[in-house]
Amino acid sequence: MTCSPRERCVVASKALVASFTLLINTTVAAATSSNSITVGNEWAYSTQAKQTQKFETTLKPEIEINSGRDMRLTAIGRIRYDAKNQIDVDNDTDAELREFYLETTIGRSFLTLGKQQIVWGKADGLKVLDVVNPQEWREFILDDFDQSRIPLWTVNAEIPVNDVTLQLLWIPDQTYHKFAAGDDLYTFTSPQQIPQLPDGVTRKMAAEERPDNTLQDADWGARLSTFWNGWDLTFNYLYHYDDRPVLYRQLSMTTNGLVASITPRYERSHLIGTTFSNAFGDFTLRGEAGYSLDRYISTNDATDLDGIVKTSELAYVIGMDWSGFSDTLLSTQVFQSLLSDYLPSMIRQETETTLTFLARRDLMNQTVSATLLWIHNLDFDDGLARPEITYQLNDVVSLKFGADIFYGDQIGLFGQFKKNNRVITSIEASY
Amino acid sequence: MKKIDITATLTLILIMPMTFAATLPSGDEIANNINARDEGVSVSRMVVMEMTDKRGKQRIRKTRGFRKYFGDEKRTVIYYLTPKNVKDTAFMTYDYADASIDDDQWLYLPAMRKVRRISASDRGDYFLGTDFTYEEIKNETRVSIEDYTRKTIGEAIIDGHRTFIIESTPVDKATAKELGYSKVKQWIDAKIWMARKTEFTSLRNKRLKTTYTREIKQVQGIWTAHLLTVENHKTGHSTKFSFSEVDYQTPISDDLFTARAMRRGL
Repeated sequence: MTCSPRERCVVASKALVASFTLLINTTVAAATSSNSITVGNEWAYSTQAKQTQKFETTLKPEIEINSGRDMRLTAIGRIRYDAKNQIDVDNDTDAELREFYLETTIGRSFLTLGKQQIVWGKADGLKVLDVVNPQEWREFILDDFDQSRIPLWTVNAEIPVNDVTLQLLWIPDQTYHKFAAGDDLYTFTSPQQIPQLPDGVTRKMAAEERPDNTLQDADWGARLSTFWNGWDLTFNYLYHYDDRPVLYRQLSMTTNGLVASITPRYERSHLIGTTFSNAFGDFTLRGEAGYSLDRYISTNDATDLDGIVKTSELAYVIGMDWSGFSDTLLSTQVFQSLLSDYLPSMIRQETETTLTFLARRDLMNQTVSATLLWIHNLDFDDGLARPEITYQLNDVVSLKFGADIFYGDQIGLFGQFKKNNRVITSIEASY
Repeated sequence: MKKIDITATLTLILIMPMTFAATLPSGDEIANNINARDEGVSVSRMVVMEMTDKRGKQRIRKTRGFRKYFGDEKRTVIYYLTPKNVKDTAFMTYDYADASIDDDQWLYLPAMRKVRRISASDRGDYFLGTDFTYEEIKNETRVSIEDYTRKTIGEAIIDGHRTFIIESTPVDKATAKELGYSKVKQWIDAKIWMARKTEFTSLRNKRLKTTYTREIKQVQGIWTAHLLTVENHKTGHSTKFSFSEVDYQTPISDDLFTARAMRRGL
């Protein structure tokens, strides 16, 4: 019997679903469950517009079903309602099953099947290897990564081999970054992100070309982790679609003049990376590096046929934490991204350098925590400062007061949002 | 006659402490006996942590802890089960026999979804909001031989049990600063070599905190404390650890003491 690739896809998908269903049924039978819900409200007030930017209520129900046979089923939902409706102007409400996965063990190996988040990397606030899951950019990078990361349907196996753990990932889920768009407050406008067209050229957006073959377009990944002579080390490989579409451009002369037809298309890339961390006295050194073989960068060169230049990219973060004072953490990171085949017409710089500084002080037996995160881009002298105080009122309720302060020129990644500077207060209760 | 009596009494007073001291084991002997006490190769147990501030406001964490010896190396991991805001937090430490090698420590914070390497030099910091330091969490009912010099200063009855009183002083200023104490006074049970009471003096020579070890019972032939309390006299905050489901016999997988197990949780 022979099958076409499409038939094989259907058979494999059915087998995956059937196996998953069988495992769920097995788990649910003779199981204990624990349920919880987190209810929160966040109010953000724009200091420039002098008006409420966001008044968002969030419900996060979570169900965990444990069987006595080393199986656990987890379902995490999220319902959000923003009464102000400026962050995402088209949707004031969104409800989704964020995560839904089954964990089991086979011998010493862990197997996690279902919609889940995979977090690689050691950096805080910046991403080099934490790219297995796409990200929701509705609030730029202001949302917690745990909430902005988009969980994907994934087969995730962690197999110990002597002192090394091999993690294998198969991700037959073609979901990519979700960007703010149109009049949304955090829509990218910086020419570092959006290619510019010469005067007189009209932009025409074509339909997005998305990979649509569940099996052939699946992402694959592998990670080796080990603890060696005091070092936590990982070696990572990801064969994936870049979650940011490449904006292919085609110029044509029409009766209305020159038109640039832009077609967003997703492209594959190989990512090879490593992470490391170790502690030396009061210091902890940590870092990660990733080399992407195929990166497609937009160019402003009007003579370029498709408006795209292919290059490779090396990105790395090196961070140092210092905990010399009691209950205090001071941390700094250097992030750099370098392109191998740089052209001056590219929309971004050949080298991008960002520094971060984090200071955190815990008080009153860790019921109060004061934090300052400062991210500064050296290329455009723009950045973001995020002071924050959290207070754990009791085991259920926590309060947060903070601010998100963008600065710098509009051309910069951070400076483009300085009109959105805001103060924030939030309350969250977990039951 | 009266003069002779006074002389005899004086002689007796002078000789008695010498005789008394001679009958007491030295501080180091006591410390060695404490650390020689059978702890089992491994243990698993539930620990309920109750933290109460000076106004009486209470926070309660339910955790499951595991400890296992890998030769001379001791590995400990604590998983938080409830409440929701700390659920799945995990803390792990590798404590090496060679005191010159720093411990290795990791913390898993579920909101970050990352296992973070943390410095073990902050061993005098308080452990996750409790009144026990990281060092005390790691040592449990044992003592750190190399960090202190110690002497036996007497004996007393604590909770109805005979104890030896030892006074420990950090070996140098740097160690004192790391540990957060200038002096530690312990009442060690003379029969089972476990501290029943400990008083800590701050670096400014102020009374800092007092711990009591209670409900000491044998579990599977091993003396086990089921209740640890500590009161911080400086802040008025107190912590109570209640142990249950203590099990020294059921084998514990080596894999539990790994970063991947921390990420996965219990």
